[in-house]
Amino acid sequence: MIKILVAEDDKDLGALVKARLGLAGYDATLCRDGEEALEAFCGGSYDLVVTDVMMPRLDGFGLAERLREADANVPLLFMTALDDKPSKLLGYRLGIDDYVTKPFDMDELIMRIGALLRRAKINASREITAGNLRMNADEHTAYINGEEVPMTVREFDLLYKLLSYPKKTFTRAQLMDEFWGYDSSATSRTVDVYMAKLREKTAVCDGFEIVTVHGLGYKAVMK
Amino acid sequence: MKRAGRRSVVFAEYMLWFLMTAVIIMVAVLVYDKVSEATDSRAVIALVIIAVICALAGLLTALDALRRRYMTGLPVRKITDATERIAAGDFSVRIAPARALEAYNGYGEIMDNVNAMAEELGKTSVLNKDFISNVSHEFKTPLSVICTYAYAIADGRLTDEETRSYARTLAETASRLSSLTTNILRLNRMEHQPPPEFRPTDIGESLRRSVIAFEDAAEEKGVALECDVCDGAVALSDEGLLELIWNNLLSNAVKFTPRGGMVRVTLAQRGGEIVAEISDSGCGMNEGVGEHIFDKFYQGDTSHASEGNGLGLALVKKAIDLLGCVIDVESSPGEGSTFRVRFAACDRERVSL
Ligand SMILES: Nc1ncnc2c1ncn2[C@@H]1O[C@H](COP(=O)(O)OP(=O)(O)OP(=O)(O)O)[C@@H](O)[C@H]1O
Ligand SMILES: [Mg+2]
Repeated sequence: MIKILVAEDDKDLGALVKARLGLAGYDATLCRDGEEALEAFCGGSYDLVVTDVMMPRLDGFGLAERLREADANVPLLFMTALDDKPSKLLGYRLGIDDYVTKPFDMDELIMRIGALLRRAKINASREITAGNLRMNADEHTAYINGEEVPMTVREFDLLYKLLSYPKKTFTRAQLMDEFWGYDSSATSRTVDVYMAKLREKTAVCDGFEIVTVHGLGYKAVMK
Repeated sequence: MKRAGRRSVVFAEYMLWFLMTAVIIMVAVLVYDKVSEATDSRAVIALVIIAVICALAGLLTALDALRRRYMTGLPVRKITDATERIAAGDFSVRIAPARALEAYNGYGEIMDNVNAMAEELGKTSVLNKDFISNVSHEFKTPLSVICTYAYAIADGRLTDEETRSYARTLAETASRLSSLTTNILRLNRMEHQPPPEFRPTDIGESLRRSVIAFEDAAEEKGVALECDVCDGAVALSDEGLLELIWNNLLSNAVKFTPRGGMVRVTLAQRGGEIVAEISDSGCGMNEGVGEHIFDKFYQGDTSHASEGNGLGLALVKKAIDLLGCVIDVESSPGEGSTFRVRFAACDRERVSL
């Protein structure tokens, strides 16, 4: 069973989150503040940590910092009432993976936890499977129906990114910043050319589709 | 003007002292003349002259006290009275314009400044009073909804179906309260914090990223989202404020457009001007509504009043002012609305976002 650590000083909210995580099939442990959560984390093994920001003794930022020292990979999700940009940026700098702003919809929380766990699994296994396509990040190779598909490193990385975040649209500029860096010869046309090539190469894939979102960018949609 | 005024005051003062000295010396000389005719005794002459000078000095002291009363005492009293009343919260105080003598020593300027201060204070306090009564109204309505519904549910006599629907209303109302709080805090932050430092920003990219965040909401509502945004439009700007502008305009466009409608987002650069347009095929608004949409807490269509608090466009306006750009609206009832934001482009250079 997947184990989730929840740090929340508000009793009612903490109990509710714990109960909903239980209903969603997770094994949730509730802590009242950052210190307690840190102790619990070091004493057990958890797959994901959900934490409030403002807590007595050790707050969310402090907890994130200490957790990252202890474990660089465990997914961290903030539940925060602070909606200002600086505190979000601080959170990301300390290594959180996602946040929800209070008050949040429980379904939204469950959905984000699911997405985080899925990405954590991809990160851990270094593999993505979508229908008849399998991508292995260590070998940088893709297989369709077990047969290797020739792909350049950049093509592989682009597809791996889109499939790691299904249904999320990326703008051409976002993809360029990540995969072309400041190699300024790339333009948004370059991205289009790569996407056309990828579509060609994955034409026989049955698990997903690369969709052009008109005027915005690209996304992978699972079938 | 004021300098010239002060110079003439100094001149008047000089004349005053000149006259006083002249009078004393002249009277002394005349008296000496008369007394020395009557007697030869130097001691008597000296005594008489001293007595005369003493009397004259007394007279002049009295005159000077009178002068000071009009030139210093009165204006200082007026200013003290006025500032005391302002300190006590009465901003209607105005000091009557200084008379010529009172303007002496810069008291006239102080009075003008006190008047201006009282007027400014009066303005903000009116605004605050309005704002606070609006805020309390906006809080009270949803809170009373929450109370009523919560008690009804606690009562336990509702059907399951009713309970669920009441609970849904509770959740919606509470989340509206929460967004109200967030928006008030944002508005407060923008009104009281120094404006952010601007840097070259790719306007199109910031617009695209905001539109992406609305893809799901538009799809869920059955509103088509069209986007045609040019590349390389760069202006000196701030990401956070831009995001706030786009999010509120897009949220309105989706909110006020019924199922089957369309929201269209475009960005184009013409010479030195970048123009962003967010148009919808929604309910639109008449002129009377259009005039007030940027006011705090104003909501035109009361049938939508349950969704939102009327702070969205007030925030947008504040952000537009901080960024130094321009916003205008074209709308006709039943046909839709177009919100247009104009930026001054800056040199195209490679910007990192
Ligand atoms: N795209 C639009 N179409 C029609 N009317 C609009 C549109 N945008 C704004 N309005 C009118 O302007 C009013 C004020 O808009 P504003 O965004 O400030 O408040 P709101 O959307 O009602 O609430 P909030 O933004 O706080 O959720 C709206 O209530 C509506 O009457
Ligand atoms: Mg709005």
